[in-house]
Amino acid sequence: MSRSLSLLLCAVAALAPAAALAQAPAVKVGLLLPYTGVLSVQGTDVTNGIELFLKKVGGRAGGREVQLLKEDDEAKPDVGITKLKKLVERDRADFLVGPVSSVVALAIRNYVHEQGTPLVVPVAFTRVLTSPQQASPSIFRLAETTDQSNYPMGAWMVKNTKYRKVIIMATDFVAGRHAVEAFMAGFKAAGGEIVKEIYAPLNTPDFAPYLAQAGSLSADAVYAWFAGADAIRFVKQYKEYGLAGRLPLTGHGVLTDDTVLPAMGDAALGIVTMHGYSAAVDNPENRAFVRDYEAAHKIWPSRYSEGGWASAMLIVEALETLKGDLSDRVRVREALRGALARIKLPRGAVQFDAYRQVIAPILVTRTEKQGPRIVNAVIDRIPSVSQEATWGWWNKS
Amino acid sequence: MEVSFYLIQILNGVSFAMLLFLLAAGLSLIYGLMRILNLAHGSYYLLGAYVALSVARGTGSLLLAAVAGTAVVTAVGIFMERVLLRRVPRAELPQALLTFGMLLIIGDLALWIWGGTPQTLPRPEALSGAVRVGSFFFPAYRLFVIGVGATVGVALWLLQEHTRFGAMIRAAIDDAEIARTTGVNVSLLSTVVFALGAALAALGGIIGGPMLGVYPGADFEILLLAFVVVIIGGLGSLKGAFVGALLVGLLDTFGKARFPELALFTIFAPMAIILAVRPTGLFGGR
Amino acid sequence: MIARAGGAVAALALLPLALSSYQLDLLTKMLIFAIFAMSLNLSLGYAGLPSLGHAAYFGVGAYTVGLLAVRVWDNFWVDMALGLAAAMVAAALFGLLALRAEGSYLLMITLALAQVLWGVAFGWRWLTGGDDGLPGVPRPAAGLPLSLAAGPRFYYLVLVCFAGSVAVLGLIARSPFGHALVGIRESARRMEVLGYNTWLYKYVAFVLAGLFAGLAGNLFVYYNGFVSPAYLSIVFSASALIMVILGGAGTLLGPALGSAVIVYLENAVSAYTPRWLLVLGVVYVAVTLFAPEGIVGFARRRKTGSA
Repeated sequence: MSRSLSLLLCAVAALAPAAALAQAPAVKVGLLLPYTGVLSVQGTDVTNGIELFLKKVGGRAGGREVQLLKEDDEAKPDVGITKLKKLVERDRADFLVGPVSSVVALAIRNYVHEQGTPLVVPVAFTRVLTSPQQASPSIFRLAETTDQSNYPMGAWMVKNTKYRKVIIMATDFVAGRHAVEAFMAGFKAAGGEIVKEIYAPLNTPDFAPYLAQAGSLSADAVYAWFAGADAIRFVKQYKEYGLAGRLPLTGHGVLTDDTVLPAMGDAALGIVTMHGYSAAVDNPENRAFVRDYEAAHKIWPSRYSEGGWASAMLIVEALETLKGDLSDRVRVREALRGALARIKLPRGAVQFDAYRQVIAPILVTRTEKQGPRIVNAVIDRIPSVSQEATWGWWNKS
Repeated sequence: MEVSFYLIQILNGVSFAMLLFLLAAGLSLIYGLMRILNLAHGSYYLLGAYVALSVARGTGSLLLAAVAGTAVVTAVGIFMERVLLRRVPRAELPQALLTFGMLLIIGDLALWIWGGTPQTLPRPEALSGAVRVGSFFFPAYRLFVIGVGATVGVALWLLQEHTRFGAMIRAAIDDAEIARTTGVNVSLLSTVVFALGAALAALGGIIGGPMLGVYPGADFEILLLAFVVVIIGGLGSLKGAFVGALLVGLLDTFGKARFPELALFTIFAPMAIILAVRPTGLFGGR
Repeated sequence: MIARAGGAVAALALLPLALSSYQLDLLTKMLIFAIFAMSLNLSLGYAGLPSLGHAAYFGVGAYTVGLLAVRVWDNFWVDMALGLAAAMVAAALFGLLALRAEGSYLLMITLALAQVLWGVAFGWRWLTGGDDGLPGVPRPAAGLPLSLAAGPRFYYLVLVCFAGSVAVLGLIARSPFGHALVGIRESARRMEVLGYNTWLYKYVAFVLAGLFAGLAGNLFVYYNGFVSPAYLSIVFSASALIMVILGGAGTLLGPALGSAVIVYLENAVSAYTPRWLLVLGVVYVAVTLFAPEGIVGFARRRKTGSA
């Protein structure tokens, strides 16, 4: 009697951990992204990247199922905060991925810091978020800041082109201003001269007045920052008004990113920009990623898709290291931090700096036709750009 | 600055104005006859552009695309007027809520069907070139837009002043009751005018698509601009819509060229000033 | 009436015991927007002055509190008082200009004025932070031994403001002033003939509406912990307008109900479908077709049995 009882107890004891694991609740990853409005294509791309990666690993990591909870932040800060509270307080998300909009990122920063839920940022590029004053142990960013992409471009332009006098054209809001400020600082530090700064309001339907102004000045090139529908209109009107031939157009990657390139047609050829990622990057991980993405969605991935894929990869790797045990937040953060060094992202090798901001290569590209499509072909690579290297001119603390 | 610079800016302003006119004319006509402020007018622009885009991609014919876009939107407009707006009391608030609801519905359906990626409509080969003006270039397509806007303006004016149909509209605007007693079918007239307004907005989307592009949120943006034009010009006045559009188009273009820092105010500050001086707009009656 | 109101307030006061922190948070948002919508109702529903720029006063109050709390002096009473004062001054100034117009023209001029403010907040980056806004506004410490930061305590602060607003607006509605406003809305000509200074009545209603909008704006800054140009935008003005119409313009609590419905729909529906805007649109169309005077107006009509 007692022997069979003890045998029974042993059997139960042996089965119990397995039973507990098999019934371990799913890991909840909350996505705070714009699914409606002008940034909806970016939110959808990030989600596509995440879902594609999770599908590849079978939807499980660290012995647990991974469940996605999607919330639409509409790219509005007040909506973002409310939806975030829903993900954290009601849904008890274990990880958060997002946002796209820098405005939302800044609005949610304090809440994320207080709550301690780890946030992986795939897209939002405001330099403030991971500065020493604002960086939080809970925030991990996989996207390069506006400084990291624009500042080195200034020096690159002086070193690799004959452009010494440049006109700046950008959207007049914080994102655009920060971006071109960084470029101007880098360009001037390398010996270049800024002829004029021309700013247009957000959602300008007609760039004609600004283009006419630019056309009347004497300069070697234009450096532009416009996004979304503005980028499409700007680039198309740039060609229509005859500037494309006589004033070379350069700019930040957002001007020619893969979500807007198809709509521009031939007007987009020959533009030199820089990005953290281009679908034309030639390494085995990216070729596989592009192939899988195109098979699933019929189009090439954008930097937003890659951001999503990378975020999912990071979280999955951290979960594997932790073996699904998320009980200790400090260990979770360490796992996320350490995971980046072990994974191979489509964009290339990256690492975190002291503030959990990614140190990444910056790719200089030129738009050209490859077969039926226009792509950002990589013409140069600026390795290991960190945010600290670009602070000298604005963050004097 | 040389003369050709100013000429280019004027042409820019006028081409933008013509697009605004196409929308404002419809909005103003509908308000003039039926006292309805149709917030879904921006949706007509959006839907017209998207339908034309799909048809152009599918058949390769821009003419067919234009016809299809206009037809679909006109049908939607007729549906809204006959089936929805008639069931609602003739008061501003319920109408605002109804048309706003339709704006959201059509906008979200468009997002669902065509996705969030910004698109541009293709333009005809013949109009893809540029015309030389002094040391500057001016896109031929924009001259086409000016032409279309002016033609539509003249056609509408002729319709209003020199046809029986126009006379019926003017009579119904003045006093619907008496118009009915003289045999004017005010009910049918209302539907026709509403359909015409919707068609004009769709045309605006199809013509404007190659210039401005189409994307989620374009409906709100163009609606706001159209309202500014209609208010400045005066509700219910075709002349007002035309003059208001020119004013807004030119002010916006020159304002941005001369004072780029104040770009956000170039439309709303003049509107506030005009309304302060003439609270019913330039040509508005009531 | 008082008993029913008291019962409702008591029920609202007990809710923190039953709701989760997220649900309480959502309810707090509903109450803040209820105050905002009710303030617009005073101008639109009672006085018949449609405004598409009501967010101007909401935003002015919010920015005043935000700027003071972050840059100058984080004192709840001072910041709130100055926020309310700033909103009132804005309404007083804008009212002088706006009330020269009527109907749809009034709608547009109020929009224009709000857009000008929005442009200023957007462009004056060194002061307002531009479109990034001003983060880091702490929850109020009202000089009481308890901090108002924790969820339920902040909820009670908002509840007190909401109940106070309902009481004051209710008194206004039932006062001779309120009745005169309704008379002016129905027929200004008749009221003028009777000797009323209709412009003055409309102006006072407009400024009071701005004051309460400022109160809502103040609370919203504390609720979110930041202020951004979005608070001055047409999106917020339109939201308030829709809440008033949906709930029932000219009824006391209709706008509050409208606020609850819309805040709920905007947050709950998106968990089930990405097509939440479509659902919202269908709800608006349905309400217009079946309850054109708004939900409360509809309920009232059903109760009295009139057609």
